[in-house]
Amino acid sequence: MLQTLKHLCALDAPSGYEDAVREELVRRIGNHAEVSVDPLGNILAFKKGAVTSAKKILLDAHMDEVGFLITAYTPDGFLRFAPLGGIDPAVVFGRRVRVCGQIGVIGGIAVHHLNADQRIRPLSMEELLIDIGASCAEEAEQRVPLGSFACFDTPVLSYGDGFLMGKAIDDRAGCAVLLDLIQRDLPCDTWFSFTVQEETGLSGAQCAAYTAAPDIAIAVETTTAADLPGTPSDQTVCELGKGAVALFVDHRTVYDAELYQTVLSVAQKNAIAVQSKRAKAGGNNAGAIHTAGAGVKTAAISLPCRYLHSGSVVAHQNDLFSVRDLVLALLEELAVQ
Amino acid sequence: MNNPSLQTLTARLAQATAEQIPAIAHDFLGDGFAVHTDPLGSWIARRNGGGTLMLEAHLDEIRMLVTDYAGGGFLRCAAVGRVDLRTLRAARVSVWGTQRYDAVFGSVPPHLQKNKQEKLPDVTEILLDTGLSEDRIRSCIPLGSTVTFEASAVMLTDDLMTAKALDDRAGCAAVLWAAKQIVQQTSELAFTVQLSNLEESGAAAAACGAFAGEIQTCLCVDVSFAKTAGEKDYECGVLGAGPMIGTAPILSNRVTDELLTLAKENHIPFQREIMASATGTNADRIAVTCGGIATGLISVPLRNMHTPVELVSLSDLQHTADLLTVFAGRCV
Repeated sequence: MLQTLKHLCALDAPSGYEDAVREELVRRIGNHAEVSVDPLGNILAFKKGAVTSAKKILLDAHMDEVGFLITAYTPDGFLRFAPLGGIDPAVVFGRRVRVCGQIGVIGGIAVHHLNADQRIRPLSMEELLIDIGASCAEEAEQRVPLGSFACFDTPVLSYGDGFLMGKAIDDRAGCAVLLDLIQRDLPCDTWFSFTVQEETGLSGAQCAAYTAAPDIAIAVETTTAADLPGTPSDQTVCELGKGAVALFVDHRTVYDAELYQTVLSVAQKNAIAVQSKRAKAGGNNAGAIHTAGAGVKTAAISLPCRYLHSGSVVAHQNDLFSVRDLVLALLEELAVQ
Repeated sequence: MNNPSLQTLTARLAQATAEQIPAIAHDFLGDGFAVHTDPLGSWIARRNGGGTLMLEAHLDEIRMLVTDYAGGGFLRCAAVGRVDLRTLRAARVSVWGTQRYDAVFGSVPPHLQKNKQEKLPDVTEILLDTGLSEDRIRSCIPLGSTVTFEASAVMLTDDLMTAKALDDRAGCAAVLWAAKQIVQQTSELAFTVQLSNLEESGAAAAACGAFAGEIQTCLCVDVSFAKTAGEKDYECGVLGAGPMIGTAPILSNRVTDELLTLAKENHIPFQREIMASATGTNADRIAVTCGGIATGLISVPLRNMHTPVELVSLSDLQHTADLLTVFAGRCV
């Protein structure tokens, strides 16, 4: 699963441009499930399990990552861009991006030419440009057409004692978990959605959930951890290495209380490391799924990550396995309900 | 412009640590030079006794040092040289402990930013995440270990290379390339190559290193600002328009005039860089070493100085090397 995750992260697929990941997932799902691709580009897959449970169950992960969209050119050949998804400009300056099979860099006025105030002033996204070494707007447009997308050019690698760093772990981690499950014998019939455009407004999940029309859905996601030394324990939200994260609330969803409790009790029963998200922060596809159709009881099980929405998201590999184990154990529980 | 050998040399130099530069330089130049490393880490290679001409660039780079353990797998660092604080959030680095360790500077994700940040944190305020367990980090990473930006060298176009540390590994590449050209053209010429240490922290080693020998003339090769978006024309040169020949009070007008003449005679594209005070390079120190050394400054135009995405033109490097070569040829 780790190798799969690294492979998926290496693909460039920001919101609205998920083709590379979709093709790879469809290829890897192969004959393990009945697969269709909907008009928005979501993959919907159905896999027969040991039993047909009373409730229809959907597992969701989003294929897209945060990235950049090329919006204009400066006369001297630099690319203007808009972020796809929420990106802090502080993690963009000094980074390399891939755009149309080429390399671009995001730099600017040399620090030597800034005064003391300018050196410590946070940048805004509007003042950042991508430099592909083009000498004029015409050359830039010819090499990188308007509407092209760019992604962080940062490889995914294992580092430290069991950690991973890379772009796009949000939410290729969820895709890797679902792919791992879809290739197994499952305890019950299960629907899978690999969705588009989570980072730009949960659009894919809204329609995928409408089509799948589940009774119960589980968003398999990443969530933000602030477990750095010096952060008060009541502000760390969740911690790496402490297991899968179960959510009871975020900015988009008040999660079904009973299902949340089931997640915790299943983890306990199966000795799977789990922790609750200890802040109302962020949001994920559950926000769109739980209000789809006639309403869906929804849970979110997330991989805790540091530095989300940067080119170097950090996660712990043990947590990835906890997420997978917990989702599988939850399916076993729901199969007999 | 596509010189694969120059590209390979520049990439190797840029990706290396300062400690690895002498081996790369020696490997490139081959035998035929008497080489040694001085007490402060500068590498000196003498051809035919060393002569009176020196070609110089600095081998050190902007870096950080590990100053403390912050708990868990996290470290605190201090900057050596002017680190651009705008580049640090979520920046990947190598920590040179008992071996090379990957690490990343922390950032606050947008989901958790309640108030807009008004001021960038200093290097010492950002935690470095090594992912090492608390019981291993002290043995793996001694205090004082060097931290460098992690950025492999890649090409933007046939001519433009981005990497960390092109300040001044680009200069090192030009000097080494020139040294090889000089030997090929005039095997008997006596000259010295110095790749200086500690420029970014105050040019200490350049002055000391230059004592060693009977150098009367020195050509320093550093990088200077190539115009990028937002920069002022009058503060910058142009990327790809040739080496920038410096004029400054501390520089020898005789050497500078000769460089200008030679560039014109040999159809080597060049730009001027006029500085009314210090050059901010090793030339400032080398010129006043011992009884004085007539010093010229040639700068390779570079964008995004002191970031992990420094950017140079290989044709500028080639032209810099060519200018050094014709200058040396005049000394025969």
